[in-house]
Amino acid sequence: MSELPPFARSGPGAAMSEACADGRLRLQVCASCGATQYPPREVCSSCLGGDLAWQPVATGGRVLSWTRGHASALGYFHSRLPWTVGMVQLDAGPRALVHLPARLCATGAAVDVHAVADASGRRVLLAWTPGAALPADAHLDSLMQAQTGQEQP
Amino acid sequence: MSTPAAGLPRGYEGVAVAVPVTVPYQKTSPHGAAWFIGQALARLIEGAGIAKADIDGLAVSSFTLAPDTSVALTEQFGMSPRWLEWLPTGGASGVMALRRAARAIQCGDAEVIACIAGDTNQPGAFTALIERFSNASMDAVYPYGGLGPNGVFAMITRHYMERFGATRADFGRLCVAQRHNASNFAHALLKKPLNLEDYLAARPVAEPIHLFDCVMPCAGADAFLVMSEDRARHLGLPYATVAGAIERHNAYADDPVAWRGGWAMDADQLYAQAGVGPADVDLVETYDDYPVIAFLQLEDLGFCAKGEAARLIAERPTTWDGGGLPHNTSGGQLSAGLAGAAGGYLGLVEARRQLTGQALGNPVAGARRALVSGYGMVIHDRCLCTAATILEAGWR
Repeated sequence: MSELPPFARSGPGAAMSEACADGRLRLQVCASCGATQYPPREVCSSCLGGDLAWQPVATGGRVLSWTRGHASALGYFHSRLPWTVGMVQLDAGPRALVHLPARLCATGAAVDVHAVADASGRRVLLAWTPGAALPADAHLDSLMQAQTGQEQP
Repeated sequence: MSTPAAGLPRGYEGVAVAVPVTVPYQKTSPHGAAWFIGQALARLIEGAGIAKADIDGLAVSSFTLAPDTSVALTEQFGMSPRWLEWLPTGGASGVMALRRAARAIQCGDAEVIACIAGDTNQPGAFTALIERFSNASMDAVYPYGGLGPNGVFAMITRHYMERFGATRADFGRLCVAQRHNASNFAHALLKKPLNLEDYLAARPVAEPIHLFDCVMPCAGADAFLVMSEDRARHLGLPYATVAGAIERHNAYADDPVAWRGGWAMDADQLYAQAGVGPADVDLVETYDDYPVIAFLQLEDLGFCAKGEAARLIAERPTTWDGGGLPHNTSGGQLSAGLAGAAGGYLGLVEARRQLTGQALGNPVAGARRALVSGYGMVIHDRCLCTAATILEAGWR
């Protein structure tokens, strides 16, 4: 079993990881109609436009549902169970499956969504306490293990 | 073909669904998918008493045949069909194959069509499958814990419970009834008696989903033949007819969390085409990848109002012999096993057997009409394909 999270992505998926390299959430925005896309796509699912630019979008969202996983197909996560994830309705429009720290596992919880590096070096989506800054050199593992927000003293 | 009612597609008059076969399910197998599909084809030929060359149409569904598709199988099986389908749509593949084959028969594009779904299950294969299941899964699901479909359906289940007040015990009653059905079905892999206490005490997998909410991946195949009623009678083959059929893809994409499926969009057409209603159905075979999805199908296909499935199954036992609404009479995937794409054929083949007195176990007395629904192709928040058909007893 893999000792790292999966690295494989589609072309647009790999491009999203690069577009979010600084941790800021960027999604595809259609140059023709302005619709915001997620998951990453080749064409706009609204107008079929083919020019999708990576743009900073609103990072806020709300937890629609969540789960605490006790079994994983991946060795990396298997050794870190239980692992919590949630479906978030982004203020930017789309919904996204995100890594969700246990303290935010509640339907309706307000979150901010960041693009953090996982152990494979890919940027993945993580929900975090609204308005709270991520610690410098934030990394998925340490963030998921943190049981409190990063509220400033 | 009769003239369709206003706004309805043509009916499926004159089409026979015959020779339901199953290649027995196994937990794992050293064989490839083509072995299971080939064994199913051999059983179809034997069951129909025809020659391989008489089969001039082939529809195949599989997750583990890659890099091959149905066309590669024509060479491997030594066939030269004039009609070919490849339907890698998992849990919806059975009804989708039936719809396409029925039209080909009506239009004369083929005379005898073999519809087959089969998969193998080798160590690590399920992991490999979910790893590369789709671009959307690779980008937006798998890196998030590797929870697989369990994670997606856990969130759908939680939403359903919070929205409609359903409890784990409500889902448990459905699972317990299906295990009861499986106890008399030869091909079911999970026959150990299950009661509600066992169900509730099971270990969590992806909360609120626990062990007995999950299907067990396995190897196997299911198949049937589609031909004209005339041909079936000439061959002396019992058959069922197709009273109606629907399919829909990417339905209700704007629902924040899936609480209904494409069946709700098309159920009225299904019943109008069939000229019957839910009360006229003698048995139901839903696609039960998770119990909540069976609940959605019972609701969306009109057996009860939205959010009322728990009450429905409490009031009308879903065991084959409970005198209520016989449901997943061969145990469903929750107890028979999930043989890959064959999971999309399991209910169709079971219903087909029931309607001509050929049930392998659990015969539903007087079954004349069955509803079969399918659901397939998981993405990050639901499955994309929904389908359903109503079959009626034909000639036996």
